[in-house]
Amino acid sequence: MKDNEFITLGIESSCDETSVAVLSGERTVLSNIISSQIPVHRLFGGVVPEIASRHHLENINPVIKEALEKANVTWDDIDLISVTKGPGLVGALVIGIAVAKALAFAKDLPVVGVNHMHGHIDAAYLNFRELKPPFMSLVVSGGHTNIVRVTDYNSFTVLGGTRDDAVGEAYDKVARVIGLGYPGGPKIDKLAKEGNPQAVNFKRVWLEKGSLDFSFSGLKTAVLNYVNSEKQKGNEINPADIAAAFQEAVVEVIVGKTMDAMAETGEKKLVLAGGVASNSRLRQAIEDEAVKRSIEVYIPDAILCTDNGAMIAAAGYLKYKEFGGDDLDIDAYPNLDI
Amino acid sequence: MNEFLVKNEEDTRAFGITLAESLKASDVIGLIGDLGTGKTTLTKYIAEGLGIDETITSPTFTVVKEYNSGRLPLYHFDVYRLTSGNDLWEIGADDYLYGKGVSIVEWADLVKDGLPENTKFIYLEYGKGQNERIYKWDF
Amino acid sequence: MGLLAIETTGPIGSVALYNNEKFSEMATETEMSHLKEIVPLCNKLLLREAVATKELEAIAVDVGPGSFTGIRIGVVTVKTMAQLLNIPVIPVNSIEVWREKALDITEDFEAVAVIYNARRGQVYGGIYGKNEEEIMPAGAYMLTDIIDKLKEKNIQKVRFFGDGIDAYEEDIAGAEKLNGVEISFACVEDRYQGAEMLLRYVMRRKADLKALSYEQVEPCYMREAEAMVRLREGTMGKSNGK
Repeated sequence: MKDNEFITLGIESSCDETSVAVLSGERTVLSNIISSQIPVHRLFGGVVPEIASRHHLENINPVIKEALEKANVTWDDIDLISVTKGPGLVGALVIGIAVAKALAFAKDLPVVGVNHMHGHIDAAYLNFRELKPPFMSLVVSGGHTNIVRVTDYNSFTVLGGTRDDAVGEAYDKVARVIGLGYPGGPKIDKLAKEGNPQAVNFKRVWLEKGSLDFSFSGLKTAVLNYVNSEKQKGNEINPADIAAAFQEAVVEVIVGKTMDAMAETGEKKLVLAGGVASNSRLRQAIEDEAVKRSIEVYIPDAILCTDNGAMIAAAGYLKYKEFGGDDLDIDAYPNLDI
Repeated sequence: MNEFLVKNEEDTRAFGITLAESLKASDVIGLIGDLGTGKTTLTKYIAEGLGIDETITSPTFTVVKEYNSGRLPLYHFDVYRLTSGNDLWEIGADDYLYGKGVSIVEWADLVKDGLPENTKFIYLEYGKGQNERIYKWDF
Repeated sequence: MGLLAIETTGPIGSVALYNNEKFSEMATETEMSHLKEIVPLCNKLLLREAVATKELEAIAVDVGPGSFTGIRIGVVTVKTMAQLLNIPVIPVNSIEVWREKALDITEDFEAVAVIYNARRGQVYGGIYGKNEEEIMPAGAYMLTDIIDKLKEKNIQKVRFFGDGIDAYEEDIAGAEKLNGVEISFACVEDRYQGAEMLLRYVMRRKADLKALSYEQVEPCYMREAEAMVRLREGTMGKSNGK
């Protein structure tokens, strides 16, 4: 406890990022440290290792230290350890989970393993103090595209998901096709502003009637085929137009299905989550539709949309409050479903 | 080099299911081909041939996804985001590649130096028509 | 004096405690279950021995070589415990620990050859003689290098340890260069790494081993030696005239 508040340490290492955060009570973030966003030399005190960003093992202990210092808490103040147990890359998950268990054991603290996707959804609570379930959530990231109905703090129902590529991935691959670098999402978002979304009519893939699932690999192939055939004809391609047209096809389907889900369920609150929630075209399109339908939209700050420890602390706190802690035998679940 | 002309997705399916029947534990298949040549599609059908009923989605982001509902575990890699065999080792891929299941590695050419010696490579190329592909292999 | 040791570089994980001049150990029951089991084992052991974590003075850990994932789990677990408890870490090399076995050398064998399977004919290994004499230093080798060294040093009776036995037993038993040599393979109970052996090694060699702060502890993967890479690529023999 610190200042009479329950303190949760959240640990996220499911894929690329190593992140540790300190949460006070249910919604106050005291620190949220993400490894890729710290100047490397500060993390390692001047000794710069070769490649720091993907190295969870090297990053995690310095990031923990930084999180505690920034939050101005000591080990004695911590009440709960929360860690992502899945889904994700098992080699990365393993580090966070081993660390969480080591801390829980060393200090005799409760530990709770949470679902990374629940973390993304719960991130909204950290920005919007009045937000309470029920609401609909659209989770869009490099690895996920899901429409999830949240009926209570620990009650999630998946209404739709991707059948092939996640939307963030589709952005990355199309970016490569038109000669942009990685990560593709922000680059396409930026370039599309200079392009004409109606320049090319890429097929919108809706799948069977009534389905809230997504499929983006066909769109990716359509862009590729278009670029290839234009090149074969000797035409110059206009990357800005392609970026805009591709993005339009993506956004139209995502927003359309999300609004269908809202209408079917009667939910009036929509929470965006995941890294692609920062996409300006998506946000604009969602907000336009929301105004027409009297829907309240909640979009967290960019740092909370990306993979981060604070969202895991939030999800852990909520899970612990309802279900208590897990045993020390938590394992990694790379395939965990929402 | 063996060759197989794929005229449509049904052909891919037939190829994938037939290939799956011959696979054993610790087999590694390396798929080499450009964006859009259908590496993930072929993987889906190999998975079907192994009796896996889970939906195969792209592992580009997490690099590897595992499926355990078939007659052998399937480890589906997409190493698009990696640059060398060393990166593959860094993420603990050896545990899968030398393990008890079948590994399918998309973009295998990017990590060739990190793959086991007995890796079976399949090359996927565009054919003449838009839906056509040519698969080549020498095992 | 509470000294905890964690061993996760082989298929079976184990933890051991030295306290009140007594050694105690617990091991996992399934293979490659380190992530799930190693911390629960620490908990069970300390509860059984009535030692609180804050009474621990240091933690020893096997940093490798061995299983890539096993090494990472052991190293990060120990670094983190040490970070929180503010106690030092004693990192130990997975092969060097087998010097303990060299002390047991009787008339049955004159050298201890430890080999871990590194696949493709490769091993992590070392050879120790009586009084811990280092016949071959801990390293990454081709299995044939180990065999060549045994022949070169004219070892007549050797006992093998490590999971390399499971992979290479036939190759070793059938090696022409070892014709006439008495080869024995450690029985399964003695064959693999164990936390108690690690702890005994640490206690005995306290003077030589370094206690580090958690920040300084690193895994020891001992990735393929250059020789092995060149051999595999077929460039061996091109610049050293062999």
